[in-house]
Amino acid sequence: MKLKLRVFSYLREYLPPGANARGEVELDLPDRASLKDLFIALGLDRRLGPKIFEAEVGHTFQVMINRVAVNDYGRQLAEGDEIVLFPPMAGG
Amino acid sequence: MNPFIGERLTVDLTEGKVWVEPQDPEFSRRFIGGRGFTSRLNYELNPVELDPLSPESVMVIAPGALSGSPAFSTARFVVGVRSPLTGIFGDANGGGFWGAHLRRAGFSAVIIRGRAPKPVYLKIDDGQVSIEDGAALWGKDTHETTDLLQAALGERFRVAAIGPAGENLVSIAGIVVDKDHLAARCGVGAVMGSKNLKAIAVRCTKPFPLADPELFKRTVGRLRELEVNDARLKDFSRRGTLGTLMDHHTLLGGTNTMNFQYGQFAGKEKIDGQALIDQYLVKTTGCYSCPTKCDRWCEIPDGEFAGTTVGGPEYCTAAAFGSGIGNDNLAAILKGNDLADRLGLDALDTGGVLAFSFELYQRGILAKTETDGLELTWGNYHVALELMRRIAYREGYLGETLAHGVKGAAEIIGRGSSRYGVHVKGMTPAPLDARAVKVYNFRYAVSPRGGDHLRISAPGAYGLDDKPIDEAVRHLHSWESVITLPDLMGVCKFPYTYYTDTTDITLAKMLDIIPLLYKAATSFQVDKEELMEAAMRVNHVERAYNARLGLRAKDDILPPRFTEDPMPEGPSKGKVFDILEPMRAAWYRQHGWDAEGVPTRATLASYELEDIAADLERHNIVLH
Repeated sequence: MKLKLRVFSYLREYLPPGANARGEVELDLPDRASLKDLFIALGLDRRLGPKIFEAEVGHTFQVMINRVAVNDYGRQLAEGDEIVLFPPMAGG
Repeated sequence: MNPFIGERLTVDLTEGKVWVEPQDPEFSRRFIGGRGFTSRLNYELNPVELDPLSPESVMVIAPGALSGSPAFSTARFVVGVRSPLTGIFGDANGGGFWGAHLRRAGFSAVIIRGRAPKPVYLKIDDGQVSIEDGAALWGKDTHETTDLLQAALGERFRVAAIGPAGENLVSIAGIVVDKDHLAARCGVGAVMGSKNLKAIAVRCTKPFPLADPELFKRTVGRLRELEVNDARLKDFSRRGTLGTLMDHHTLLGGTNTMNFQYGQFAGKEKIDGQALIDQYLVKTTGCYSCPTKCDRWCEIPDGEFAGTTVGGPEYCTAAAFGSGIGNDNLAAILKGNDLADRLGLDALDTGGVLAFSFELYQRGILAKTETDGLELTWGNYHVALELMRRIAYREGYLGETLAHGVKGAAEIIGRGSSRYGVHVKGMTPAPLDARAVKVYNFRYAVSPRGGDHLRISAPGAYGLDDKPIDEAVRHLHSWESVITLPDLMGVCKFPYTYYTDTTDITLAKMLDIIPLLYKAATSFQVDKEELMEAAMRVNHVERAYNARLGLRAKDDILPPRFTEDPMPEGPSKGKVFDILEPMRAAWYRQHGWDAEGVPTRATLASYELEDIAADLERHNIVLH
C-alpha cells in the first residue's frame, strides 16, 4: 500500500531516496503494516534500539496520522494514510 | 564567606549605598539559586500592598548555582519582581553572557531597592561595586548604551540595559543583556526604569570557583559524551526554535495567526526556519559556554530593511511579528526583532498587544480616529513597526494605551474589547493555541506569572490530549521538578531537557549529571531527591505568593478565544478548550493545594515552608 510520509528534524536522514527538501516522500509498505513496521522499515529501531517499542510512541516521538495524534505503535496503517513523524518535542 | 555559593549584593538606590553579605548556606541549600533565590526573596521583600513601580518595590537578580561555571550552557539568570504588567508574581529569565559574568564576579543574588534621584548605572568590577552617573545614557537605546559603556569602561564589561521602553515605564519592557538577549517578561524593564537604573555593567576576571575541580571536570566529560552523539540536539542547533516549532505547531493547527483567530498561517513558508536559512541566516551563535549555539545571526542584504543585523528570531518572535499580525514579510520580522532589542520590549507581549489592536480595528472597536491615523490592517508591518516605537515612547493615544499590555489596554479602551484580548492574568501566551493542544496548554492557566509556556513541560506533553486527565496531570507533575531545576541551576532548558534524543538522556543529564556538577561546584552533599524537592519547593513558594495576593481558582482561567470560540479551520477545526475545570481540580489535588488552589498547611510543611504557612495565616488566609 502507498503512504505519504513527512518527517522533521534529523529523521530526514532516515528517509528513503526520493524525498523532497521538506522531508516528504511516498512510501510503499505491505498491506496491513503497522506503525511499528514503518519505524522498522525506516531503520529507527536500529538507531534507538528495539526497546523503543516497549514504551508509548509519545515517549520518544510524536506521530500524526491523517492529522490526528497517534500514540500506539500497533496502529494499523491504511492505503493513502498521511503520516507525520516528529522527533522528541517537549518545549515551546 | 563561602565563594562556592557566592555573595549577596544589596543596592539601595535611594540612599546611594551598596553592601555585600555572605549568602546563607542554609538558604542556598533550600533554594539552590536563580529562580529559587528570586522567588523566595521576591516573596520576602515585596509585601502585598505594593506599587511595582514605587521605590519600595524590590528587584532581585540571581544567576543560577551553575551559571558561569565551565559546564555547558550555563548562561541563565533570573530577575524577580512584582510585575507591573500583571500585578502579581513576576520574573524573567535571560541568557547571553552577562548573568554568567555576574556570578563569576562573585554574586549569586543582587537585591535592588529604592529609586535613584537621577539616572544611574551600576558598575560591578569583580567584587567592587559602585553607583555611577547615568545621565549620558538616559534616552539611549540598548545598543547605544552598551557601546557607550564599553567605550568608557572597556570591552570586557558585559552590559544589561533598559531601552526607552523601560525608561518610560512601559509594562511590557524587558531588560536587554549583551545587546540581543532579553530577560523579557513581566515588565522587569519597567521596574528597573522606575528605579532610574539604566544599566548594570559587569566585569569578571576570576574563574568560576569550584569546590572539587576534578569531579567537575570528570562530570563535564560525561556531559560531553551525552551531547556529542545527540542527533536531536545537533538538529536543534541547526534549526533553532523557529526551524523546530513553527512546522510542528502549524501541522497541529495551532500556530498563533491573527491574534489566535486561526491556527495556520497562509504565509508560513515565507517566514519559517527554512525561509530564514535560504535568505538571511549568516551563522549560528551561542550563549556563555554553550556548544549548542541555537541563536540565529542574520543580516538583511537588500530591500527595504537592507543593512539590518540581528540575533534572532526565535519562533515566538517570528510568530509575534509574523503570523500573529498576519505579516508574511520575513525581513520585517527581523526588523521588528531588532527594534524590540533596541527599544527593550518583550517580543511576545509586544506582538500580543499589536495583534489585539489589529483585531479591534478589524471589528470596528478601534476607529481610525483613535489610531492616530494608522491603518491597523492585518499584515501591515509598517504600522506594526511604527507602533512599536510609539509604545516604547508612549506616544499618542494608541502608543500610550498599548504600553499597558493587552489586559491594561482593554481596560482603557473598554467597549467590549476585553472579549478579544488573548492573555492570562495580563500576560500574552506563547504562539501555540490552547485549542490545538489542550492538556499541555493548561500550563497557561496555572503558571504563577500568567500565560507562561516555560514552567511546565514533559516528554510527550503534546500527546496527552487522549489520556484520562488524572493520568495526564500525573505525568506533567512528575516532570515539573525536572523542568524547574534548570531555572535554579542557571542552565538552559533546551539542551538539558527539551531537545535531547531520548527521555533517558534528559534524565541522565538532570538526575545524574546536574547533581554531580552541583556537588562539585559547591561541596554541598545534596542528592538528586533533595534537588527535586527544592525545585518543587520553589513552585509552592510562587503559588503562595499569588495566594497571598488573593488569587484563587477563578483566576486560573484561559481567555474566551480558547474557551468559547471554536477553531474555525485546519486540523484543530471545531475545537475549544473545554477541560479547564477537571484539569484545575486534578492539578490542585496533585500538588497538595486546596479546592481554591491555595497550598495546604501540610503541603507547605512538607517542603519546609512553615514560615510561609504562618505568613499566609497572618494575612487572614485560611489554610486547609
